[in-house]
Amino acid sequence: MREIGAMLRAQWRIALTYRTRMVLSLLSVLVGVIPVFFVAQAVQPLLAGALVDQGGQLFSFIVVGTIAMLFLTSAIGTMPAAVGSGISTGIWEAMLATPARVWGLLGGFTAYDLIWTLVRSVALLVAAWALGARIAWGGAVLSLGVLLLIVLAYLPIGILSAALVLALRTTTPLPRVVVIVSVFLGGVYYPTSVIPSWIQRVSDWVPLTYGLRALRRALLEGWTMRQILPDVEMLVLFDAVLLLGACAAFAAALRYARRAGTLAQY
Amino acid sequence: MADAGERGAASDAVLQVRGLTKRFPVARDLPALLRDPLRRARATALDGVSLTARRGECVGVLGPNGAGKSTLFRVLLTLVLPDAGSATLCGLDVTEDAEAVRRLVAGVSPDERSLYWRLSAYENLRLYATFRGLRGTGREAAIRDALGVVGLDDVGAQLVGRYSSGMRQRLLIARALLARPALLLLDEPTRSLDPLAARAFRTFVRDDLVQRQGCTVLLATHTAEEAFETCDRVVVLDRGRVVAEGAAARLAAAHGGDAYELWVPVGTEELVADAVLATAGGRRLGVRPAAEPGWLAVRVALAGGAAAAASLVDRLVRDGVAVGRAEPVRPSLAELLERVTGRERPGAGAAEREAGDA
Repeated sequence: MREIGAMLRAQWRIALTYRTRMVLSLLSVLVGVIPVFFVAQAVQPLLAGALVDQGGQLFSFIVVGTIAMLFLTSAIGTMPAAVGSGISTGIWEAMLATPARVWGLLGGFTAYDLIWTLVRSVALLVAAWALGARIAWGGAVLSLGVLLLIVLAYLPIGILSAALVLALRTTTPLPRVVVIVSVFLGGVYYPTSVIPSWIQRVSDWVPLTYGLRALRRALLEGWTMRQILPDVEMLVLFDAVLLLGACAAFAAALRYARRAGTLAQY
Repeated sequence: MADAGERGAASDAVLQVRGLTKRFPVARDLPALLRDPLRRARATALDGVSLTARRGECVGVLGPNGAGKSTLFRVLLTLVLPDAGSATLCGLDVTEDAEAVRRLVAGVSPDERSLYWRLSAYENLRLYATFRGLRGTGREAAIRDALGVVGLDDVGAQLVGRYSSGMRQRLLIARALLARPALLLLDEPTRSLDPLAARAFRTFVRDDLVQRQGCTVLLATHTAEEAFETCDRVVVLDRGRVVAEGAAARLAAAHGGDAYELWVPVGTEELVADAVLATAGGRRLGVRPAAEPGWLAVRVALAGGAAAAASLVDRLVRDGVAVGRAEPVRPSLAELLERVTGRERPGAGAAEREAGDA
């Protein structure tokens, strides 16, 4: 944990030297929600029937999907970007030469971005609520837990991409493919029930399908943990399998990079 | 140095490297790949390197570019796994006990980009001090000491991005000193320092780090002054092999020969040339105008040490040639490497011929 704490502090200090960027990052979230509100109002009658059990309101449905996407892209993209730039600057090599634990360093690279995503998400949710989104605030804590499980399901893709950066010097199209598949099949902007039935079978293999359904039921319908348990169980299963596989892949990539002597070359 | 150094006190040899070998895979172009797809091209970076460093010893690691210095340092920093051979630090194997070794070793690379430029020097050091397991007042004291040693204590709160290149180099040194390492690896540490800062740093390494605190230092450098004045011993690497090793002064004498510079009046060149040829092992290396008008600085190589030099001066005086100055000259690092490795520096031959003809 000491590595994560130290990196969080450092990243926060760095972020403070980019104050305008911080403000713009928050403003873009707040401004971006306004057109979503009007488009959702216009399309609401078409999808109302498909939104039963998930809030019944397209605007809040999309806002929750957008929040999940913010976390998903952060979980997938931050780690490989940090490792890639760390290799080219020599920061990664300098850190690996200390007694700091590798997993702590990886956690440290990701933690600040995830916390900042949480801040932006809260701002987005409050702005949406002010515009009329129906939020069941009582389910906020349970929603945070579900969000954590979503992050843990996609963090392995980030770890795997970082492993590819170490071994092959490229993330390959993996992160992009995962994001696209998750957006189209995970029910970010529309419920999975409206997509053709044969594709729905594919969406059963997308962790976001379960994550978003549980998240919306908790945050928009106020469902309890007991009620969303089946989706949570699937998420936990995804988390366990993917995390184990990704950690093994990263450890192997690090060994390979040490053998090939490429930790410091890009 | 205090804690870590004590762990190595049981054995005087802090670092023992035995037959260290490392070959890196080399990317091949498509035609070569098609011709022989199964062949694995490899470049040898270290080829059976062996060396030992005692507690409180500064060992210079010299060699031309690509000699294997950086790879050796990376192996000792546990960043590269060797193919064969072993390296132990205070009895700990760099491959088997990598985590423990990282607590005992620290390196200074010349790459300023490995600092966070949008953080202050203090914050940079705080980050790495935490990685090194320092906390609370111990961490603050270590940061204060490290900043003080490199003379950045007054500007520690400034962003590193506003520092000059030399200041960043000093911060890299401070970062390595935080660890109070048993073995400190310095890779061209004074490359961006001004001459005064470089001299102060060399004095600090030799007098404080090595002699007072007993830290073992491996110093890779391309500067003769640094190699000869700071190091007790030097190891010369070439193409991944150790080609020479020994006390810095002895190695310079052995491979540089006994070189002397004599100041003689302009117009006496022929008399000097005859006298040099008549002296044991005498050879004229070059002539250039001396710093004072009317004098020439003649550089000669002699085989018999001080006695031969005295004999030459005696002969010149007898021949009526005034000798304004006669002093031993240390070979440049380039000359030393050239002689030890048997390689010629690009353009060196022409330059020296020119000097000799002058």
